[in-house]
Amino acid sequence: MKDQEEFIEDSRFAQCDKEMRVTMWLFVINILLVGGVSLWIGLNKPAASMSYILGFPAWFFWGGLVGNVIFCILPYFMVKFFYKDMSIEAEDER
Amino acid sequence: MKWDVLIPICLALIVTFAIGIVLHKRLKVKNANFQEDYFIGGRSLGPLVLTFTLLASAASAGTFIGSPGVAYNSGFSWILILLTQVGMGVYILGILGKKFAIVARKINAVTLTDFFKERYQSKAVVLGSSIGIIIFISAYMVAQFVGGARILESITGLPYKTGLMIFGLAVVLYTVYGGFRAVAITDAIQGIIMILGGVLLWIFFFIKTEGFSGLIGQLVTEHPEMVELPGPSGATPLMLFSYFMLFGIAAIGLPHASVRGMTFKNTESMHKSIIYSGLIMALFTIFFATLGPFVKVLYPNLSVPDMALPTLILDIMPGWVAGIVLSAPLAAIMSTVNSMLLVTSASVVKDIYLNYINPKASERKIAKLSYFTTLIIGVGVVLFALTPPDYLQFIVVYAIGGLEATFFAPIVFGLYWKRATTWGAIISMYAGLISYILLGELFPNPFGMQTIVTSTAVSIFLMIAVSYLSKRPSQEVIIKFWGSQRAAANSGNRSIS
Repeated sequence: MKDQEEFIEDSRFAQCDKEMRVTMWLFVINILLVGGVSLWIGLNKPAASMSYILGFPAWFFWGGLVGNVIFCILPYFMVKFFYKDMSIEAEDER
Repeated sequence: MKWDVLIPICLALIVTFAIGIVLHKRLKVKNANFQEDYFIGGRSLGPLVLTFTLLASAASAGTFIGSPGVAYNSGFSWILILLTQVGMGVYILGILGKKFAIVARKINAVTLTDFFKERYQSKAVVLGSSIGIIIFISAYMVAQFVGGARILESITGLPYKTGLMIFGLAVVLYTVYGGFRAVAITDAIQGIIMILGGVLLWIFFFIKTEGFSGLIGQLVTEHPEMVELPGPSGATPLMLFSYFMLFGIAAIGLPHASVRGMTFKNTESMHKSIIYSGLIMALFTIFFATLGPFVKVLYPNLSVPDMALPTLILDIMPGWVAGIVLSAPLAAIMSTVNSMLLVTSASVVKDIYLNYINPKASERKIAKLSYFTTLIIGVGVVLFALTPPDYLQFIVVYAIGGLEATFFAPIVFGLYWKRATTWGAIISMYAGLISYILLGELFPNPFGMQTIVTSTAVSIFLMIAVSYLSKRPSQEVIIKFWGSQRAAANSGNRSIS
């Protein structure tokens, strides 16, 4: 773009954009892990042929409970591996 | 009148708000200016307070009263739908991210409307965002008042309308008197009470009843549809996907939640808060909503489903414990309504009155006007709540969807896409707002998905199409938002020399 040569982009924003994209991937994983697993086990299955774990329908146990427990651990790794500490003040430090 | 329940509730409420005010005064940031301090706590929130204030602003009466009510009749399919909100905090913080916090500091924004004003430089955008806030946040507040009145009804045995009047009056007066100040800190205290309340509730539930395994058999025999998918709440794959949008990623469009993305102190707070918020939202959701279907077995004939959880709590817990557990959602409702009332009246006074009607109003006149606006909106909302719907959760869903359809595209594209133009924002914002209302009235759930997905898609499509068709944003705006400030200073020098 011709306009871009007139200014230097804030050097922190490349990392910010990357973190945004990683978070979008986490959203996809969330859908598959919770929604996907529940629907895969339980969709259109009549109550009579369902199995139960600890008093919950099996699809809810694996997708809703276990799926969410795993999902709650994932942000820890996302932050650890993809997020970086930086100054968030208005001035760009470097 | 159940005094043993009522007294702990009043005490817990008074103590939390007192602690909030005292702590707030002590932690007040020295160098921040008034607006910064008043609206976003001087951009100084640590991880724990940030997490709770973010989640409490998004989940209040809906999570604690509304959802167990729907689950009482619809069963596990609804709980699965509700569990799509677990990632909400992660997405708000992760996607708006550091960029939102940095940009807000660059342009000195303290509200979402400030952000729009600077980014799109258009009165039509400011007006659209005010209209969206006034319509949908008012609807959201109606749901909160219904929830509060339901709790009072279950405890005191007062008729719904009397409870509503007492609760409404208390909240409105508290807001006019106390303002926004201590909200973030009280949110954190209440959040901790809610989690402890959830733990206590499960312990009592397992002692007093046969537990989940004991009750599920009866549920399956009497209401087999409640354990099935899609089930009565219609959780088809497409519907479930819409709810992942609605309660998950599109929550970025909730103005009262996304503004919290400007408040963290540093990236460490933000990182920790991302990790905590998934976990805490999961606990909130699982602790309360999961009991809904089992309440159906224990009390099959409740006439108002929203009373499911309060009924259970009052029945299986000793009075004073029930009082403390019930005080948590009540307090959450109060603090949510409190901040929403102020957001709405600020929108009327600051964004509409000062921009269009009388830009030169005196300080005193503004203060007077703010006071009356807050009072009028508050009373209006209470009047709407006089005829409550069967399930308050459905108003919550409607209001959330409307806010998201209006704000999602302008925020996300304004932040990440340099080419997003003023016209793109105007068209996408109004198209989102109007298509959501019209589709909801005439043709709900097109293509088997929630109205929100269609409206947001329309809004995003128009944002991209119209932006390409209109003139690119001025270099000034690009430099202000994207340029490093040193470079901006340099280019300024160059143009002088």
